[in-house]
This record gives sequence, C-alpha cells and structure tokens, in this order.
Amino acid sequence: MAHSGIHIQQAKHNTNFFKKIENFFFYDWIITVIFYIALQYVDHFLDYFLKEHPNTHQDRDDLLKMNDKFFSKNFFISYKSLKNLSEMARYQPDKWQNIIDANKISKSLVDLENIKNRIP
Amino acid sequence: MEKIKDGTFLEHRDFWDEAETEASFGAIESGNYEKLKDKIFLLLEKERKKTQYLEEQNLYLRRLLSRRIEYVGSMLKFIKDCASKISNIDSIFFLHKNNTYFFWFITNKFNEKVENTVFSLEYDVSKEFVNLKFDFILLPKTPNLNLPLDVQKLL
Repeated sequence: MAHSGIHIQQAKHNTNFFKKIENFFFYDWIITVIFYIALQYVDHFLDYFLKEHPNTHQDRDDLLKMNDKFFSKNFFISYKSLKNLSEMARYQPDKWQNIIDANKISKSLVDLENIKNRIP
Repeated sequence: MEKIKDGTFLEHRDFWDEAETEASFGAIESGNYEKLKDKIFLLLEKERKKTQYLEEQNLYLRRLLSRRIEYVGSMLKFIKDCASKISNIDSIFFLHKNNTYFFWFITNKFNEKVENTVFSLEYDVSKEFVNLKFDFILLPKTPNLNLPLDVQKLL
C-alpha cells in the first residue's frame, strides 16, 4: 500500500514525462499522461483525507462522489472529464482524433490544475 | 431411535425413513402405538414449520426484489428525464455489470458544456440513489459506437 508521499512523487514523475512530450502531436498519449498525473493527486487526497486506497477506477470514482465534505462536484467533474477523454484516447481510436486537439489539451490542463489546487 | 432435537428440519426422505424404522423396530413390535403417533405428529409439525419458514422467506425475497425493481425503475426514469433536457444528446445506452450501472451518452456535439452536464448528472444521480453504483461515459456519435453487445437503449 503506497503512502500519500509516494503519490505526489509519482505525480511529479508523470509531470516530468508530460513535459517531454507536450510539444509533440501525440494528443492521445498527452491526455493519458495528464489523466495519470491527476489520478496520483486524487489518490494522494484519498489517502490524506480518508485513508482510502482504491484498487479500481470505479472505487476511486465512488469515493469522490460519496465524500462531498472533501471533494466538490467541480472536482469530480474535472477528474471525470480527464478519465473519459483518456479512455476514449486509449480504447476508441475512431473517435478521439476528432475530439482531442490542442484546445482540448489546454482545457484538460485547466482540469488538472483544478485537481492539484485541492492540495491541503 | 434418537430423540429429534427442536429446530431440526428433516428432509422428506429422512422423515419417512425415520417413521418406517420406528414402526418396524420400535413402537409396533412393542405395541406402543401412542408413542409412534406422538413421534409422527412431532415430525409433521416440524415439516409444517419448515414449509411456513420457506414460504415466509420466499415472500420476503419477492418483496425485496419488487422494491429493488421499483428503485432501479425510478433511477432509470430520473436519468431519462434529466438527460432529455440536455441538448445535443443523441442517445443513451445502459448496462448493469459488476454491480455497476454503466451509461453511455452519445452526443452529436462533444463540447465542454455537454461534458460538464453529463458528469454533473452522474454526481447528482449518485447522491439521489446512494445504494447503486454508476459510471457515465460520454462518446461522440460515430457510425460504429463500439458498445458492448448487451447494452439496452434508454433514450
């Protein structure tokens, strides 16, 4: 079981990778990396506030939805939007190319900031 | 013949085997018909209680299932009513799998507003129906939707 410091460390590791690829046009991978940065921050908060360590995406989503004392609706929407786009990028090759572009990446970075700003 | 303990439910075969054995080797040979009558009455009473218990269990489960169906039905209606007010939603499909209700929202205009509205609805539905688990997925409309084969159409 990873402690919350490990999640921040992994988020920074993922961010370093993002900086290496952000100027390329591999939007599917860029959105995936952004999502996995966000996921590490979410896991950090779940550990910090709730001492929870979800094993599945579904468990993680449920914890965010059920703990509005710690996570706002906008926090959930930002996270869910990143998750939805990254899953589309990975599993729906005929769909993402018309959806995920430079503007979508910019909007996703705003969502990532919304999540990071939850840092206590 | 051992005394039957209270609360022990005997299978039908056990019941007749026991009665027959009692009759063959016990009460009839000794002429104690009253004892046999009492024993059979006791066995019949236990069978009656067992049947009553099973009927009560069956009724309870049927009521539980009925309430669950009603609950899920109201959830589907809630989502359908809310989703019908969201602009640019072309269709909605759903599937119950792994204890979770998956909903695919197909949009003909994938933009930030639709994303926010659909995921906001997921949040609200989860609050409204706390006993159910949800996962909403938003996809653009394409010729091939690539959805699981067993999805059902909601809208």
